[in-house]
Amino acid sequence: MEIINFIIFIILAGVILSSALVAVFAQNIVYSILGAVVSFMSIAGIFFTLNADFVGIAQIFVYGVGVSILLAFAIMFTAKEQEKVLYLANAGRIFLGLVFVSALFFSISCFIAPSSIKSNQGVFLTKDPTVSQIALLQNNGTSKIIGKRLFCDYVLPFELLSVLLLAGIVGAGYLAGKEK
Amino acid sequence: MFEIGLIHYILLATALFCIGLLSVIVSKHLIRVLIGIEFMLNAVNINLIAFSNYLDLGKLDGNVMALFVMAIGVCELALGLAILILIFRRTQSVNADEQNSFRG
Amino acid sequence: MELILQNIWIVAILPFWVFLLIIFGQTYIERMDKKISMYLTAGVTFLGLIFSLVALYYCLSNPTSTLEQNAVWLSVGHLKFSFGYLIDELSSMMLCVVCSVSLLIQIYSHSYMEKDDSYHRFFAYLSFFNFAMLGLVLSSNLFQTYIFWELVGVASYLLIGFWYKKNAAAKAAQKAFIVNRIGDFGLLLGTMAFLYLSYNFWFYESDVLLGFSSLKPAAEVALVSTSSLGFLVVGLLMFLGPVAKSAQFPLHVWLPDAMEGPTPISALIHAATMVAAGVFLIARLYPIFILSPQLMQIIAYTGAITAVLGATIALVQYDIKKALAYSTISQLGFMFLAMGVGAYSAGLFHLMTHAYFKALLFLGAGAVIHSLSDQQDMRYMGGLRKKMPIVAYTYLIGALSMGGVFLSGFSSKEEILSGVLASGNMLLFYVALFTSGLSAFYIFRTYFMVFEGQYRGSCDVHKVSKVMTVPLILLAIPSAIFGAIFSSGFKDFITFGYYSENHFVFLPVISIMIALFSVWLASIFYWDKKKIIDPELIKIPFGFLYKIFVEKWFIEIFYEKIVCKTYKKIAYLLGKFDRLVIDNAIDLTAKSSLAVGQLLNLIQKKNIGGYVLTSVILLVILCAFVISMLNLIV
Repeated sequence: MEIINFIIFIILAGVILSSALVAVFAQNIVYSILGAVVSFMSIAGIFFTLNADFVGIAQIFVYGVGVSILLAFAIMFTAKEQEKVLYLANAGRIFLGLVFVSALFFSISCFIAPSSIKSNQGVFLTKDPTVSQIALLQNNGTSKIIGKRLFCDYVLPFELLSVLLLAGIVGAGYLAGKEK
Repeated sequence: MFEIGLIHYILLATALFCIGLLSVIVSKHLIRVLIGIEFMLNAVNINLIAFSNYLDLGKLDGNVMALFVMAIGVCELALGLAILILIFRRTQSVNADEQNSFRG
Repeated sequence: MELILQNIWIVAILPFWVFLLIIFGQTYIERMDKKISMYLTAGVTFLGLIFSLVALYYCLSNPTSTLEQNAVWLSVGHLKFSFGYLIDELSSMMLCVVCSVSLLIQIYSHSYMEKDDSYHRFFAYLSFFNFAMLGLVLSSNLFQTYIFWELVGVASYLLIGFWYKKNAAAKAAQKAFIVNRIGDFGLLLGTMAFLYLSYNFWFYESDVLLGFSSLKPAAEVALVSTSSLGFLVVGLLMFLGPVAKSAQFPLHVWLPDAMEGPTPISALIHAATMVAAGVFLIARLYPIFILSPQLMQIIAYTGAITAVLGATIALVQYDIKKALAYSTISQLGFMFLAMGVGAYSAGLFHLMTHAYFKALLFLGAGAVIHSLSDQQDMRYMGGLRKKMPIVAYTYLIGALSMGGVFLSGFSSKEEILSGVLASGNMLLFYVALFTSGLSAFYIFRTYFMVFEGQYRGSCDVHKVSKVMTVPLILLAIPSAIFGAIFSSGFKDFITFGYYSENHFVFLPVISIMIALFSVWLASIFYWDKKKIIDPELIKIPFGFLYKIFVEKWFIEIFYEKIVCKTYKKIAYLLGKFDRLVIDNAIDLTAKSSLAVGQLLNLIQKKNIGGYVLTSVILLVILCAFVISMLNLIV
């Protein structure tokens, strides 16, 4: 039973990372967007394995549908005949970037890795949540709890977020819609 | 041995974050830079959801935060693309390396 | 009288005011009678003379007490430097000598410099010199003495280079100042070392830092606080000052060149007063010097070497002023010899008599030169006794005094010779005896060449004015009689510690015989009437010696060729080093900061990715640092 979890996790993680790499290193920008979308969908899958169904669906809707259409439109507006294929930056930057980013990855993992694989305490629990908790979730769904959270405890950030979204819509519309 | 714990999700999120960072550093096309930013935000989301799952399953604070991050990220992406279009209208190129003057 | 004694310091300050007055009041003075400068200067000096006579009377009547007043001038931490005056036997004697000789020379200079354009400047400088010399004599502590020592050097520089448009005069002034500077440096170092060694004494016991009245116990403290070699070195450094100022070997080279200045200056500074400052300082520092027997030996031998040096070179000079200059060097050597063997009062007695007769000789030579329209070569003089009898007779008195035939010079030389004999060093005694014979010879050589025989010159002989002859007469009187009057009293007056009564009956007889023999020898060479041997013929068998004497024992050549050349080479090398190494090092710092700036410019990429890369690099470094601090890499 555990191994199915493991295999699903490995497959999903592999898809995320490999499509993200495709998104970074592909030479055609449309391939890059494609990689990004696949990555987003897989992230939604990860969310589902983490018992976060509401957020997972939100991820599919927002990122997998919305953001990909947004990016596609952006490419449409800024495409030029000669420059459909834009190469990556010069080799020095690629090399240094790879070196230091991997160094960053390793150093951050040094912060979280040591002795956590062995111990099962505190932050580094490897235990799954208890069965009763999961049962509760699966019966009620996370939407209810999230809804309660949003409108009771986090109502202020929620309202502010709506204002922010309004500002974003108006701003983006104004900026991009202006023709000289 | 084959148990998936919190640590694996954190490592995944870190790796995705680093790939997003790599995209920002390496790419010449402005849209790719924005895609990288989206990757970084998604990595943060994975982190939040993972923590909420393993530590906070009764209250789901992490999920709520992840929603917020998602919304803000989308807002920022929209505005970023609007600015990208403006830049394209002005200089007719989306080469990140050429945008180095703030005149005008 | 109390009032005068309380304010004795104005003797030194008044000439300084006169100096300022003449300098700043040039516009007014030029409108007035020309003599006003002379009246001001001489008037102030006359006042000073009266004050010094009062001080002398006070010292004579109160034998052991001294008059001292000090005011704290500079207080730095634990060091308190004072300014003040000290009247004791030594300074009162010096005051009288300086004031009287100064006064007579100032009156004389009026006639000498009458036709000169810079008449007022001359008297201004004379007043300044007066101020410096009197300040030197009056000072109560070593520090103040050093200040006035330097000022006297400055006055000497200004006066030697009085006719500055003459290249030779300017160079001579420079030479005098620089050679004096070497001595001053030694004196300064010695003073500082002495202060350091005896600091405990000054800190606890005395009010006046380096004061002369408490020098004796301080010297004893200094002696025990260091090895005898260290004390010798300190004393030697301090001795360097008088060596330079009194033109002893090896720093005697400036005095003959200083004859480029006007003759009254040569008389005042380089015969009577300034060069005596060296002997004066030795007398003041005697408590220190006497504690180191090796130093006394060095002083004595320096004096002896200088005496022989001066005498032998004076033998072959044809310029009358140069001959007199070298004779001054020789007589100063005598004084140092006396101080060195412990004949303290003998040296100072000779100082006093020498001031008078040397000033007399110089002024007489000056009168001769002036009346022959600046002719200084003795080969073109002769037979002037008939034309200027007063000058001749006073010069004769001076020559008799100096040669030690009789009169005051004889008495003081007697004292010195008996002091040397009493010390037991036979070598020094024979050298002193030989040199005193030589001095009689050369001074009578000058007398015979100038005043006797036929006139060998070609220009007219002008008359000598009364203003010149009266000071000559007035100077002749002390030269003649001071010896007789003061010889016995002087030892009681100025003494250091104990002295032994030396009664060497045969000594005066021997020295008079030697002196008369030398005079006879000079007469057979140079007195035309009785000339037997031509001096030119003597040069042939003694040609080698003659060459040495004429070339001044090759000292000046040595200095010029070897010392100066090496110094210039070293300076050149150092200059090159400075340019190549040091300047480049400084340039290197500037260039390296430029290089670092350019290096740092590389991280300033103008693209977004570059900036993010830089942030990531720094973030990684920060993480690595934190990881290493927390030892997270298991």
